[in-house]
Amino acid sequence: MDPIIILLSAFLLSVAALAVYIRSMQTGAARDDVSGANVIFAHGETGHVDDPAATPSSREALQDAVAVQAGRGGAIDDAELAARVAADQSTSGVVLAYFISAVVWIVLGSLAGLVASIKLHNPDWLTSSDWLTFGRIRTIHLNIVAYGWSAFAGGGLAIWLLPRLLRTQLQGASYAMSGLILWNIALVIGVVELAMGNMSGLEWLEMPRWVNLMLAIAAGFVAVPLMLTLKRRKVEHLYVSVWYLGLGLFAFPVLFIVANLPVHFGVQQAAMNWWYGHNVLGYFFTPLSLAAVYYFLPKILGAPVYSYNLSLLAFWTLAFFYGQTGIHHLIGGPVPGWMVTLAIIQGVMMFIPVAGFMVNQFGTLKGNWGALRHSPTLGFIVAGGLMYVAASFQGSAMSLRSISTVGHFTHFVVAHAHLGNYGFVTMVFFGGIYFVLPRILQREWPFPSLIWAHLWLVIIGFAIYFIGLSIGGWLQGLAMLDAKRPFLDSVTLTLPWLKSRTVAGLLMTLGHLVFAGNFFAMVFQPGRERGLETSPSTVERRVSHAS
Amino acid sequence: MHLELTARRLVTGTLVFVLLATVLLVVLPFFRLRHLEAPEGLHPYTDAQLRGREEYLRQGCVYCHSQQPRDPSQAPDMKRGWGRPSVPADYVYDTPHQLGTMRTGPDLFNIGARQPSAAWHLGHLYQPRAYVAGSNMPAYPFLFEVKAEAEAGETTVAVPPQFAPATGVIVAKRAALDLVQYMVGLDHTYPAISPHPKQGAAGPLLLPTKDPAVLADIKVGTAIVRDGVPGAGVAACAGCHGQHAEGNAAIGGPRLAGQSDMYLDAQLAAYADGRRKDPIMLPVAKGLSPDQRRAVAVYLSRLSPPGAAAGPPPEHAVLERGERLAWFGDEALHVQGCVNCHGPAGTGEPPTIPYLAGQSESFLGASLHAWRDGRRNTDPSGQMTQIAKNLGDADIAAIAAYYASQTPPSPVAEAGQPPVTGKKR
Repeated sequence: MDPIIILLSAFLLSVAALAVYIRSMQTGAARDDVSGANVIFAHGETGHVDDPAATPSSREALQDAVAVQAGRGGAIDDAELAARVAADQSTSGVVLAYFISAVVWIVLGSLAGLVASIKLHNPDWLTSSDWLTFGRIRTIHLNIVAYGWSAFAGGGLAIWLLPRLLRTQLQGASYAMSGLILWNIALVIGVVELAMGNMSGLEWLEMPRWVNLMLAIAAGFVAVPLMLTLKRRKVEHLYVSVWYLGLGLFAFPVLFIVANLPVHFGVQQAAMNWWYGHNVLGYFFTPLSLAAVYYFLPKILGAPVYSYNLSLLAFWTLAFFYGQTGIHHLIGGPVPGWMVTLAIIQGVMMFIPVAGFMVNQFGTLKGNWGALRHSPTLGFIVAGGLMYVAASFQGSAMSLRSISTVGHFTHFVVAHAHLGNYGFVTMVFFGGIYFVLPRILQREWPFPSLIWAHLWLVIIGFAIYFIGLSIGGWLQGLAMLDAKRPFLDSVTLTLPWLKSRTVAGLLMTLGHLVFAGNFFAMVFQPGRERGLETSPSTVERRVSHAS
Repeated sequence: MHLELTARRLVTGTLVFVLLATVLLVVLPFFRLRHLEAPEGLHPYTDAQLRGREEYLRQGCVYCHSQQPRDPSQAPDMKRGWGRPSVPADYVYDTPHQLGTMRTGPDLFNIGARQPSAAWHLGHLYQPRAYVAGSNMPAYPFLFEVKAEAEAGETTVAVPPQFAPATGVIVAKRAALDLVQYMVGLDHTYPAISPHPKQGAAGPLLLPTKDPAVLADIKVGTAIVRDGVPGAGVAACAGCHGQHAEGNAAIGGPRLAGQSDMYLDAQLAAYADGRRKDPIMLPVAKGLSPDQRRAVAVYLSRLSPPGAAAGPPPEHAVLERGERLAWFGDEALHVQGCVNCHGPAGTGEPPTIPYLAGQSESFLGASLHAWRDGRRNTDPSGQMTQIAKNLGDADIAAIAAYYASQTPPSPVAEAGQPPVTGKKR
């Protein structure tokens, strides 16, 4: 059968299915539009800001800065809050373990990234050991930040969010712990294997297949409590964050298992490689992060999300379009033309979900921008959300042939990848951890000012990273396209920008060390118990202490 | 109730979308590409090359070097000497694939053709800046040893004095030697799609047969080609088309050998009824009876003489333009690639569409001009006329030069059947 016919019929079928879904979601959600968006709040809670990472004084200021004040001072349903506290308590041990893993991995991953960055402009630095060669240390960096930091931070947030969103308690926490231990063991082994040079040669799938099998088993362990918890849900409505979490948690096993089947070959393997490499962001890290944004942004502001229907539309369009965009990594390559065309079309269609998210973010923030001055947590979340929009629009543009022609094969793509994985995903996870840790440890952050230091270090660092490397990459691409210029021009002209990337990486790593210092000070300093009097407006604390 | 539905929608909806993407991007290519066979010019890796490829993976070379030259319409990779655009069949031995997504360094798909010197590669691996000032490629000293002196059988590496160790010699380890074996073996400069097996001394001049009807046609055809039909005013074909119909570039007589009999017969009919206007061919076609025409066509279709003497090689730029038009056409001119109808490598789509590869520059040029001027009008779809009208003289010359430089096909199947081109299943 002709692939074009298969393609066309699959496309038409899917668009029809999509229309049915959206229609049914709208009719279903329109009925309880308000209650759908309000499901994350207890009765009487809207209008109350909530940032556990804020100091008492900044919390007051934050409350004064938000637009919606209706519920302030109103009676909040204590029973609902008690249920939420119970939900948090059911996850506290597990989530803490996930966050500790995440923080250790991001420090290691940043150092590996920094070494790799320096090596690109100082190629004779640290050349005597094979494990420090660029090809390996870069790979170690990617695998640690993706499968160490992002997986644990995102997984921890998912485990924390789900019982809250489902108004129940985490079931089968021991499975989640077993999964964490196995995943960590597998990752340590995997990184050692990479250092020894046992790399598969497939980007994003470099670790040996048997290590990936361990990771898959570990993921299976993590899935059990999430499924059990989902079954025990006590809410009428599944909040949009649950949908995103579901997408991430159901899709990842499919991606990971199919990618690791020992059947792929040649060019087909290249197609599979970028189906996986792109979807591990699109179907795993992105939905986990969007789930967090859709929860934390309204929660911090005490205001429901601007348009709940739009969030559902954005969800289904993202789930449909994102998965088929990966082959734009092979534009100009030896893959069948229809695959590239499909990737370009769906890449441009990604405009729909991203625009939906953007409208929602700006709508929810409308009148609340002043709150950013009082909540670094909100700063991380909002910055992450903005960079999601930027990264996605940039990604749509980059899937066009005309732009890909210049940007492909250059540092421009590296900058873009970091805009998604760092600017968006990592920033949101930072914000999430700042929010969650005081809840599960029942303590204040010991050094609130360091949260601001962290925020500004990584924002300034990343701005330098992205702007510098984008310029350098674009110039590199233009030089490569000009046959009259020797290839080496495209190398030498990037060197200043590669150096600026190292400066940026230093700032970002410094930010991560500040974060890790604050984090471990909080974990290992039980003396700084957060008392009732130091957090007067934190409703959960009130209930928790009363009970 | 509503709640149950919602949870089910979540699970089924996301899984359906994920699986759809998987089917499109993983499963479909799997079934479409798994029967690919290696092109003729591509050889399996040797053991040393395979070990070297392992080393290529172990050092993560793919993070800075692609192995996929881009289409000339997109990037001047060909002009940099990186080679023609690669095709899926080039990668049949490449699992895991190493296509790469980054060009911190140059594309390596044809590094073996571009830089075949193993000594250069060894020195360059030891210290890239000794060979390419300004390179930011890592040095790989750990793939080498510095010894007082080399033992028998060891390969020493010569580098400029300022990069050499103070004392002793640099000896390449096995890993470095294997890696270099792999790199100098990276040569995909053979044609993307195998041209027809090379003919000449190896193949028979005339395709053998035992079919009596065909044998009778051959007998009649041979006589007409050699001597013509004097009484009917039919000149000998050999006069303009060569003794074995290999063509005569000097006077623009096309190669007829191996063209399908149905096509040749149809051309004679076209000359006779004026759809092809040619003062020389008109009396020939009119003078032959339908049976004689068929016999000549059958005979010619079974011939496979060596190519006629080639003229001086055309300019590189002309050839490149011709190749581009042949393979991809030119969107701006509304001209599609010749290969779309004349088959990959221009070897024709018998029985209706003639081969172009190996025809003389003079004939191909004249023929395109004839299409353009309406002196040739044998394409009911009007495609050829339109294409020729959209082409300028320079482009016509470029296409002619390109196909003249290609190898003509030879008949290997029964007449009327498509000759084997490439290895399709």
